[in-house]
Amino acid sequence: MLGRYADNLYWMARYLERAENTARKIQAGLHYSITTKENNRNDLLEFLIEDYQIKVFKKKYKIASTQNVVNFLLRDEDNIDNIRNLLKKARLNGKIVRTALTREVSNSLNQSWLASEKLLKRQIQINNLPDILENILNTGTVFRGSVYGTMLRNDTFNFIRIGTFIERSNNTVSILNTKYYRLLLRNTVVVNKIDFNRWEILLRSLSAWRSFNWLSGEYLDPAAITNFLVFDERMPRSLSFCNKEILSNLDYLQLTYKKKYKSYNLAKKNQNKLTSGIIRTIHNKKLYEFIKEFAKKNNEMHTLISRDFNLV
Amino acid sequence: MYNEMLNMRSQKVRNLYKNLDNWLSNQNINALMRQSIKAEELFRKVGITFNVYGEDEAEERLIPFDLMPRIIDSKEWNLIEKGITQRLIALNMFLEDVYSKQNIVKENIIPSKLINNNAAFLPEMCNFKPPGGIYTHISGIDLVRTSEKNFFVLEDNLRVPSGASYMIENRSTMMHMFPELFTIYNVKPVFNYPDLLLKSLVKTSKSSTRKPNVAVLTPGVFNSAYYEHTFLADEMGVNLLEWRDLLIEDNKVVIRTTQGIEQVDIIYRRIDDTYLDPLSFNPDSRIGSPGLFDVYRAGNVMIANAPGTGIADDKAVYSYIPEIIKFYLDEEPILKNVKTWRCSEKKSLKYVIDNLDKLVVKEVHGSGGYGMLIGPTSSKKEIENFKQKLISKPSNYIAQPTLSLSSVPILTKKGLAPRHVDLRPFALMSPNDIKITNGGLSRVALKENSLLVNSSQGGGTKDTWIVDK
Repeated sequence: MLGRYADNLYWMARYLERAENTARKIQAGLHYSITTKENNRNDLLEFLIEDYQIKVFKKKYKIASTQNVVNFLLRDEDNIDNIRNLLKKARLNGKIVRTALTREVSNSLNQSWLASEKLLKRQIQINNLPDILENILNTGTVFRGSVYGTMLRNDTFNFIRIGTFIERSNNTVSILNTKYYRLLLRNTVVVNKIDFNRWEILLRSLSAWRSFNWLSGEYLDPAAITNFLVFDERMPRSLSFCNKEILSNLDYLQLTYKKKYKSYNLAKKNQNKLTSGIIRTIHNKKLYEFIKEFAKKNNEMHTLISRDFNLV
Repeated sequence: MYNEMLNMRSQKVRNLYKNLDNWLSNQNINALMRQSIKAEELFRKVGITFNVYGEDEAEERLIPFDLMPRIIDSKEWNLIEKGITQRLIALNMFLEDVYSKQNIVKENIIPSKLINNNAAFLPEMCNFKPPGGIYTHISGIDLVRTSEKNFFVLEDNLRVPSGASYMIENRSTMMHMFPELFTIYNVKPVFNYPDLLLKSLVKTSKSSTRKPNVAVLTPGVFNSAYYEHTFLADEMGVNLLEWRDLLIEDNKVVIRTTQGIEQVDIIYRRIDDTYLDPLSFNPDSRIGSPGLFDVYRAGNVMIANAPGTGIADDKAVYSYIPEIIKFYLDEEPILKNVKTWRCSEKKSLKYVIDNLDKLVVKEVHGSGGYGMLIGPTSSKKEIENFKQKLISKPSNYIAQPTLSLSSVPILTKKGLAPRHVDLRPFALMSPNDIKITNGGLSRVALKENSLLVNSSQGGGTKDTWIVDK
């Protein structure tokens, strides 16, 4: 496969996953802002808007109203990672490699783009938000479903899957690393309401609220939550799950191409750490350091994959 | 005007269209219009769109698709096939000749100036024989019909003709929406085009011990025909490359793949000659691959179509095609040429200027309906402006009578209405044979009485059926 194709496939999947992650975050934020009293809503901005976006946001908007935050994330041209733009870029990448995709997959990309162009054309009213978010999340699901259900299990498939899981792993790591580090450093059972809300919004943004509760009862223990999001292989947004997927796709590429790759070695190392019992039991400063380290590894993984497979 | 469905004198439906007419009488026009909207949604969903030059890059338009099929008898079609085959054999011989001995010039059939001073003539191709002796691997011959028996060739597109994907997608759409019609008519298939294309390219290239690596070369995702480029690459199962993917190493064309370097043997290029190689041709070209032409001349890659074919589909050279066929094949042309006045000739120029309101005047190298004058439908001011352009550079223009193109019905809100059409069949040439598609792309003017069928000028397309009675 052409190196440039692999690059397009990889970024197509990453942009789509990023759009979906943003939509999930907004969904969680919306839930939070509806269920929380007005004066406690300040941290909405902090939670929803990434560090690199905050400057841009503050320059443009005086207040961090739900309306402003939502429009910024969904469709504001000043925010390069607005959902409309992400879906457009995903579709452009997909259009370039249309020949490598099945008709179902390229149709799903086209449809998600056409829908977002229509839905996100004008200012979003909060009343319409639930439907819009649902629509965006649905298109992501249709994309993954059609990849999974119609694509040959070859290198094309591998590069799409790697893109999806690197982006997802990045998302989970960055939420833990930048937004929750203070909470992570606390080793106590949640006592105050604000902390409780923050953990709830975190889990909801990763679609993990119900699954966590299902697994551990209603007890929001920070250590249990982080262990869940980092180590639990059953949880499709945990670091462990994502790394396992990356590893298996790289393994497949090694077999197909009959070569050894540095990116594979890194994924293997990560996997060993994520399954080793020692780290599993720790949950405080060390865990936080582990997460910080993992964020770096994610960037390194991207670089290695680009080099190993001639992505341009 | 010749109406292909209806005999205007007797107001009776022609035999070929009778079954369609019966079928239509049981259909509800509103339901058909809804189908038409459904067809558009289908095209948009699949992404069969094109960009119009000069418009915002982001703007993607659909080529309007009309649901009413155009029907042609297979016996008539046989004659057209013979005519196109004859024409292409002669044109290919003409190309070989103008790029070697130029016998046709020496024998004073065509003036030397018209060849050697022509912008479409590539001196770089002189004394080089392309693999298999084939220049025109893929061509699209534009035909118009003016009466029951009369088909004319309007243009031979021998550079990078497009539209084959639309021909196939139109058929898929029709089969999807009206499967019943295909049980009433015995329609000859068009789906094998990409397969024939691949086979024809491989057959023409130099024989090699390994399976040749074929690729389609596109200017990129914003090109107006990008959909077609992806479609053909996909259907043939080959790489779709951009110029930046082509690297020249050891006098070979190679690409960087996820597994390392790979050699390319055959390039079906969908970019113009002058953009192929900035070293040999246009030094300002931002697209193109430096050194590609040297590799080509060394015989290490085949380029289809061969560079320099433009000299054979130039509109001034077009006027000599009856002579070209006579000269190389000693045959009378099977398909007619439209009478053409070469404005470079004084007598013709005078006639053209005196009759601008009756004629169609075209740029010698123009295409897509750009830069032309249709006398009968132009205002006095437009004609006057055009006259000035014509006088300042006569050799840049040719003129033809306004042909009364045949019409076929299209579906409108008020029911069926006649509109003018042309037809572009596609021909594939290899050393052994010439294969012509069963039908081709019918382009239809959507405005009443309009003769402009080009998609860039608001024309649409139709599925074209070659049927056995």
